[in-house]
Amino acid sequence: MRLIAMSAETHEAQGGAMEAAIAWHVQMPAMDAARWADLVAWLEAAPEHQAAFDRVAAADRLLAEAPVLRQRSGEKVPAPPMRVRRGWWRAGAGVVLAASLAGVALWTVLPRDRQPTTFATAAGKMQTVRLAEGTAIVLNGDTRLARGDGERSVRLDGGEALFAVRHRADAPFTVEAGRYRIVDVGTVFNVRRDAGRLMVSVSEGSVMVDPDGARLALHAGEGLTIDEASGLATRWKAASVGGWRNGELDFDRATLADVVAAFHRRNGAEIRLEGGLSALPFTGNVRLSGETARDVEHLARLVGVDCRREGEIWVLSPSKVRS
Amino acid sequence: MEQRPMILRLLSARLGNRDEAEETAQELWLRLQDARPGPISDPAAYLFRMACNLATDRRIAAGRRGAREKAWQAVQPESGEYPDAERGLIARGELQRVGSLLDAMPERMRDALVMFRLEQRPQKAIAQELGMSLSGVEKLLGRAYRQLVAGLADPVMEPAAQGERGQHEVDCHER
Repeated sequence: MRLIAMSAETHEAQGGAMEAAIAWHVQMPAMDAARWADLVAWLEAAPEHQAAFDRVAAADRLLAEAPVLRQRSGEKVPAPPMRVRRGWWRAGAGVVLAASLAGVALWTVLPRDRQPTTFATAAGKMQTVRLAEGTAIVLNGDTRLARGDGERSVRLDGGEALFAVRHRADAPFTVEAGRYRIVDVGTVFNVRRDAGRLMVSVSEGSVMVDPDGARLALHAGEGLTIDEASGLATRWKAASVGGWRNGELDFDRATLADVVAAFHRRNGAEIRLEGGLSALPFTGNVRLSGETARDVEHLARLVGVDCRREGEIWVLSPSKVRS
Repeated sequence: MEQRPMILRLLSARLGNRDEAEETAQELWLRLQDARPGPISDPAAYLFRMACNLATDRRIAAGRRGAREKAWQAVQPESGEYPDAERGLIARGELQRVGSLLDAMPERMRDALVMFRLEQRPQKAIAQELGMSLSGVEKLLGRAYRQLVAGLADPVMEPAAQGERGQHEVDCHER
């Protein structure tokens, strides 16, 4: 049975600007330009339409950032494999499950010498790790990564790395980060883990974050930040994924502390923030020249703070000069 | 862009202010320069969607400013300053409320909503996934939004008992 979708206007006729506003939101992803023009006309027709649409839009916006990630531990019982839903992911989930079962079995059988290999970079250094099957991982500075058993899983203990993964449907590539897992669906993606936050952004293809729990799909150009303590997830637009390799740092609703941490990873600069500057909001791009002194001074000018040097450490403090 | 007049009308209708609409349109073009999205099947629809999202962000930011500075608002026109700083500052309390509203939903409804809004899957795929008709999914999503809007408007109100035109049979059959 295939019914014609109920139009927003029909809802309107049945009563209530709110009903119509909801119907518009339900239709929105599939609307073409002509339909958008209909929506504009509807909005223009009455202030009540605008008010109703406004309320639904606000709810819809909240929904997009809703904390659907739950703690792994606790009452949440994992669904038995037969009840796993969500179409395109279904096959993948089965495979992951099978793979993890196989992993458990192998772990008990294999000798202990197949322990994971670990990689660590100092601040300001990068390292590229190549795995079999053409998968490459670029580690940013101050990063710790462990290779799992086999070539299809790694664990990011801290720092940041860009993953270019050769996709295999029968063996998805998995990144473990704390209590979260990220599974690729054919992909270039970036993972950062610091200060109790996990940030994932996708450059090509898509990944699935927390496949056992919230199952959040991230597509190219999308980013996700998870506060590891609360499990609160926030989505954002990822402009330049992995730009840090070329010294291009991109910040969206970040703080100066985030910027300083990114500097440290990339060029090794030790920067101390004074006078509450850590929480200073920062949105925008910074391009590192490769010359630390110049870059730190540039940053200080950019945000309008004072910059001085104490031995090996740069100190940024609130500007004393009021302009 | 040939869609510019219609985009401006959309923004004016959403923001209730021609100047802010112009400003937001400007922001939209700027963002398009920055963004390097992959191939888009319907660029016009993408533009409208983006404009609509920007307008909503502004409305939310304005609402928050309005709550803070009600007295000011009466005499000062909406400035639209610092939209970037304001954007995304969605109060945690509100997010948590959405979370509990989602938790309170029947599993099927929540699944549909998550697939629709978070995974951004087409309704056809959702219908297939849930073994429902397309119109069933649409109604289910409609009811989910209704609960959400009602629950957000009144935090004490239980998001249930919203008498609807015989839609129960649509989502009550578990497989």
